Amino acid sequence: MSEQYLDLSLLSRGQPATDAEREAQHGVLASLLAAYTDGELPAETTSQIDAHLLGCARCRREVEVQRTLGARVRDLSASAPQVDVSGAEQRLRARLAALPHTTMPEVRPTVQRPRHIVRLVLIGCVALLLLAITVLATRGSWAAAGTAKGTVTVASVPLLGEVARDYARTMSSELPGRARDLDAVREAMPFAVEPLHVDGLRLLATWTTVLGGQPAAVFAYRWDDRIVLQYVLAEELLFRSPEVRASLAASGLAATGDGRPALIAWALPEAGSVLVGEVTPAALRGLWSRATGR
Amino acid sequence: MTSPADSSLAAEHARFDALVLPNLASLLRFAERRLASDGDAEDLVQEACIRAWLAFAELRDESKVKPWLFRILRSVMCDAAEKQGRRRQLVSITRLDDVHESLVGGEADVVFSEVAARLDAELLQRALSMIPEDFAVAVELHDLEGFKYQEIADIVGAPLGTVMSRMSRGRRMLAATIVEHRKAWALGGSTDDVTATRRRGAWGSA
Repeated sequence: MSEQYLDLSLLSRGQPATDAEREAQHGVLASLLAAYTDGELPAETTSQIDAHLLGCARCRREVEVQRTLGARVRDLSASAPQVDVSGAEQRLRARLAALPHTTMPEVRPTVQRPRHIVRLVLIGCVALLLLAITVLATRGSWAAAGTAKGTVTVASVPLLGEVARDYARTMSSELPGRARDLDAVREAMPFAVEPLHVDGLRLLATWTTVLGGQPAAVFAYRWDDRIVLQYVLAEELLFRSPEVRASLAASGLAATGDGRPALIAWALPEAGSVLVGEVTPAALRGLWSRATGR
Repeated sequence: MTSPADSSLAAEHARFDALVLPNLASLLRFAERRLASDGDAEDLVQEACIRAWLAFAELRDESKVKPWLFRILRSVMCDAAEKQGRRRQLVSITRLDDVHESLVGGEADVVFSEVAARLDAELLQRALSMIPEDFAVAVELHDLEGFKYQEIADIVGAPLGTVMSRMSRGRRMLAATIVEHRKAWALGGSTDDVTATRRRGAWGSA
């Protein structure tokens, strides 16, 4: 089952839904009820589920089962007797002590600084100061050049860092969703969601995740023998970063200039999008350009 | 005379001991729940601690040492399971889905809170061993070890949404397993039991 955030407005009281829609949405809802019970959902989604529970006895019973079992398991854990690990600890210490020196980790050495080192450090500081002055003097043109090319760094944009980490986690396991879950993903998002359509790019799977505490849609495409992911997310997340805002204003995109994975962010009519893949930045830009027509 | 390198190494040893050893009990409990033999569990925990020692410089945030250690242990256990081709006898998932469906559909003759209240640690362990590992691990890491969902996602290397789904489904299968075996495990909790208890209470108070 794909993990999906759900627009529950169709299930709130007074609004009709077909039996088939209700059944499909209950299946999705079931995957969220543990997170709801454990307080792990964003406030908006929690409120939607609160409203749904008012009118759904089945889900109320499900929440009760989740709550009862979770609490009982935690009680058993809290009352479990302390484990005596003194023997295990001794055996572990002996095994660590027996490791040959060649297997020791590199330890950061404590450095003693003789006088000539201090002189070198001072010379280095002066050189850095001169460089900084030069940089400041040319900063305007550099910044303009940087944003004109639309390059940003993952380190300077928290959203891109979060996307890169989610990408890495996704690539290290099975893809969560399936392409035929597209309608459910569309219904679950508060903004329009449409996959890219371009020759050579085939949609394999789609699911939802959380970025910046808000729901986001994810598309997994096959591109030749690689997988690229596209995240569609709330526009306020995209426009939060000053570097991204400057890049978008100057060139319509914000892309990483080097390193892997490559990322490109751009604005959609009512949302934001980030494309990420284990390819060169230039290759990803080419794909983005063909997909968006820019 | 102690060389600077030896002093640094001793300091790293002390830091490792201070951060890792307090988590040894949790690591052993987790491994013992997953494996048939306590001896195997200790071997794998030792292996994980050695890997942790060799990768100690990669631990940037000491407050995250516990999920870091569990991620390493999980990796060690997966490597060992692959080599040994370990298989466990699992209850049919379809059967569990049916039992759970009757539980939340209001058709079951069982009062789940009564059954759960009689569950002890040994029966819980037995029930956890009967559901698929990915789901059991999610429930254990949250309900037994106290990790948050995002930490569990980092430990098992899965997206957050997958962890949410596994938690929901894992608890559902666990509940169904417990209900399915309640008679064999003498957990009682049928609606007949509840009715009989209330009736005795009414006679007793008459």
